[in-house]
Amino acid sequence: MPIISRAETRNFRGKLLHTGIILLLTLGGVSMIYPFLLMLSGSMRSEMDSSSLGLIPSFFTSDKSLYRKFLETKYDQSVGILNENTHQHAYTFNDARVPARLIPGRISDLRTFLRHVKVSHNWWVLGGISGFNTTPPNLRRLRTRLAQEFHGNLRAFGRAIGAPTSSWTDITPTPPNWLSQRFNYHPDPIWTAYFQLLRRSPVAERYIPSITGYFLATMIQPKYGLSSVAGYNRAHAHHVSSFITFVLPDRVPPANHPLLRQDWLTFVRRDLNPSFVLLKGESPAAWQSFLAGRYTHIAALNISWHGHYPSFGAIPLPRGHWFGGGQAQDYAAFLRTLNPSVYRLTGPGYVWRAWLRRHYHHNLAKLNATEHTHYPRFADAQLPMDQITYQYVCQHSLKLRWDFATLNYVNVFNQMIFHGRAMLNTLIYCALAILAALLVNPLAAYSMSRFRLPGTYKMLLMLMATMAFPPMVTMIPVFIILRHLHLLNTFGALVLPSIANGYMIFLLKGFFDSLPRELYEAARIDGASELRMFFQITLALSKPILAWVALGTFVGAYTNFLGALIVCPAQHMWLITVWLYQFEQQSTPAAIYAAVLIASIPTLMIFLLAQRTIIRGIVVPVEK
Amino acid sequence: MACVDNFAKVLFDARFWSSFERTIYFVALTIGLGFWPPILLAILLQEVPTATLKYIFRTVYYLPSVISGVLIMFLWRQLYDPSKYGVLNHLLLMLNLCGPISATLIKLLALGLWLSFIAILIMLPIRIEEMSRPLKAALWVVAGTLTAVTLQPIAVRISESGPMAGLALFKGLIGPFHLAPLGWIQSPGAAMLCVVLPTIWAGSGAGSILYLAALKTVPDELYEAAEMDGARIWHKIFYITLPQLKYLIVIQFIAAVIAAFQGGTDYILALTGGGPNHATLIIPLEIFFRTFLKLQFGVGTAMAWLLGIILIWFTATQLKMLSKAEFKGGR
Repeated sequence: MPIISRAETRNFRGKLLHTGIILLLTLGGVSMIYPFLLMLSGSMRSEMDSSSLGLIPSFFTSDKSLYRKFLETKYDQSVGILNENTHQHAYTFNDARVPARLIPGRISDLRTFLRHVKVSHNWWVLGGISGFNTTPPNLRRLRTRLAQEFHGNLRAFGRAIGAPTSSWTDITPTPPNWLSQRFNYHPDPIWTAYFQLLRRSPVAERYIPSITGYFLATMIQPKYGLSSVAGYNRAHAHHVSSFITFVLPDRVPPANHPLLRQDWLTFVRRDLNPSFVLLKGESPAAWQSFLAGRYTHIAALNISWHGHYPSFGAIPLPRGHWFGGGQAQDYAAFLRTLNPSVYRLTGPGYVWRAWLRRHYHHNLAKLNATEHTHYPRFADAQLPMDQITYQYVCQHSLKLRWDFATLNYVNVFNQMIFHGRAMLNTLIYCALAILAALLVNPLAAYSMSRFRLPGTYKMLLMLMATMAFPPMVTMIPVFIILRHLHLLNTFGALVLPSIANGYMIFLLKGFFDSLPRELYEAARIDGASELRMFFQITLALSKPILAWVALGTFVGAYTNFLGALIVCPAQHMWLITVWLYQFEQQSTPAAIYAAVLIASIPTLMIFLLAQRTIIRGIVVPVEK
Repeated sequence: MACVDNFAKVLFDARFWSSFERTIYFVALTIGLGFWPPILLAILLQEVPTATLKYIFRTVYYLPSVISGVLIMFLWRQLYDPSKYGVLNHLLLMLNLCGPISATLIKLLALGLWLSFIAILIMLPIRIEEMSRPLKAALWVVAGTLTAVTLQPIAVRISESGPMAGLALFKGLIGPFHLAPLGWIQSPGAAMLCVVLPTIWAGSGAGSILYLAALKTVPDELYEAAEMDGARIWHKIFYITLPQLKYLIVIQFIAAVIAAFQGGTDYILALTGGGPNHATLIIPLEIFFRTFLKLQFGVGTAMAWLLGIILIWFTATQLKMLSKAEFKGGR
């Protein structure tokens, strides 16, 4: 019964008091819930918006933020990759450029281009394939695809890629760096899956590596910086208006631009993959004789190139398809022997400009009118990839919002499943612990309550004295005993040390004592066995307190961390808490929030569903 | 002899005694700040008029305890971020945005609330005469401590730089806030308090459930009879409710002291790791470090036994009271 009686609540003072109490409780309640809301909203964030504090992440309400978040995933959380491939100078994804509006002319042009000109998959990069301490969607899809392909057999997968792999989550491919002269890859199952995924993904999720961006990043940025064109313009005779509109010329700059010519040549000869360089007016014969001079025998070339050429005469000049390795080295060496005036750069941007020229029949005004641009020449046209991406984001905003909000949750679930047994182990352990506690503790209490043997009281004191020791004292001996019994890394090691609980036995004994003795006498007259009395009288009458015992055991088992870590360190015996501990060390705060929230669902459900039972099961000590 | 060696090693180690002092401080904070909120919360929850509201409040206050153990500290470590983008610092710095008038009002309101809280603590034992002596003493001690804590900075200022500095402090009450981000767990002075707060946040709701059950065992007739005699609400709380719960409160108090002495290891480990500058290095943590990191099992176990011996009186009293107790189920 409430302390404020009903009569008192009617007068003004009582009402004031009630209002005050509710106000106070609400204030306290806010302080209880606020961190949870923070956690909930934090679990939906990524690196770019993790430091902003609003309860509702901004990508929920603004298309701009959503687009930037999409960019963050697409460009592998690296501002460097974003800046290089979209020609901008952002410091974080929070100030990445967002298109002012959608321009249908640009989008339809680019779509027509992509339909008509087959851009080789070596010119595309699939976005969202790697991330720092997090698993972007495409990486997750790649892992799932590989796991399905190998029917979950890690060993077969390890043999196929030639490196033992301990978990599917260890597959972390680096995005291909097609533009670099030093990059190469060997076709293996990971690459096959990667290309399959690339072909099926929407255009907005991929990007075309920008040769101009690569040039700016490797040659211009170290010398003049990219934040303003001032440094560059001071050093060069010709002026550029902005690095955003800058396009690397497809042929070597003339001699009256010595600095740019120097940079261009160094870049093409040293950094750029030579397959992006075509030769104008050069015959294959020079190339073939160069190779013949290098290898003398075609078989040697075939080994180096992984090729099947019958003779040197059958080798054509590169026509723009990508290659790396020995072939790239040879071709780069060949390029160095030639006069640079025959070099012609190719690549998506150059093909796009050539296509535009054909598409608009060299009518620049028409192009500018359709695309709402102000290009002074066709050679300045840019690939409007940002338009297609922005359109995709706007069209799929609902799905993307949902995906971003649930990304961390999906990842945590996936990791738990990929890491296999943590969830199952916890389930088995909790079930075993509850079963054991419900059997051992009541049996001990029953025997002490029913048969008042001499020394029962001392026995009880001894049982309770086990609670007095600091847990530190028992931890080491328990570990040593378990090791002697060869029980480490078994469920026995988890369940046995805490199978009996002195306090619970004590409580149960007190409760059993209060049951009427006449019941037992009546049962005995009816010929009931002791076991039957135990189950049908004692246990049946003490359901609330048994529920409380079960709950206490469950909470103890579910939150067991340090003990579990010490007696079950092997990965196949990890509990959720231990798994979370190692997860915490290699994840973002957002993923940790998600994991914590997921891990607290079971305890929350139990409290919500069994609140009444719990409160009824609590026994309160009162002085006799 | 070896085991005596270990005990001697521990007892003649200055580090042990300094961590012993910190343990006392930790226990005092944990008990002083954490013991009464569940009781207060239970009494308040009991007074909530409708069943639905009661259910909602009970669930809300229980919510923090569904996050298991160490995970709470992962959460609070984010809240305690010492940069100005940390959650708590951000909330604190929002005060800086207040205009001079509203800032002055907020300051005066906070000061007023604080002073009236101390006044209530001092007045209660005077108004309610039949309150038990230990409770009266306890309330006055708390009030005295709070007064001292309030006056101490003023006294220091005055003694250091004359009475005008004291006046300057009062001038600080007027005008906008100029707060700087706090270090929280990284400032040695506040770290212990910061370690204790999350456990109180997480434990109050779950702790109040026991008291809620106990409140239901208080017979209604007592309240009715008291009302006949013209008892007010305060009287009912201090003459009926608390005396009826006295046995439980004493048992819980002893259990809380024991738990405070033994516990806190994993929390502190996850939050500060004993730092900054050993400010939160308490004995249980020291035991953990000695045994499992430095692998000095003997020294660690000796410390654990010493801790057990310190607590032996508490443990014996607890066992005695528990074995004499009768258990009543809640309804």
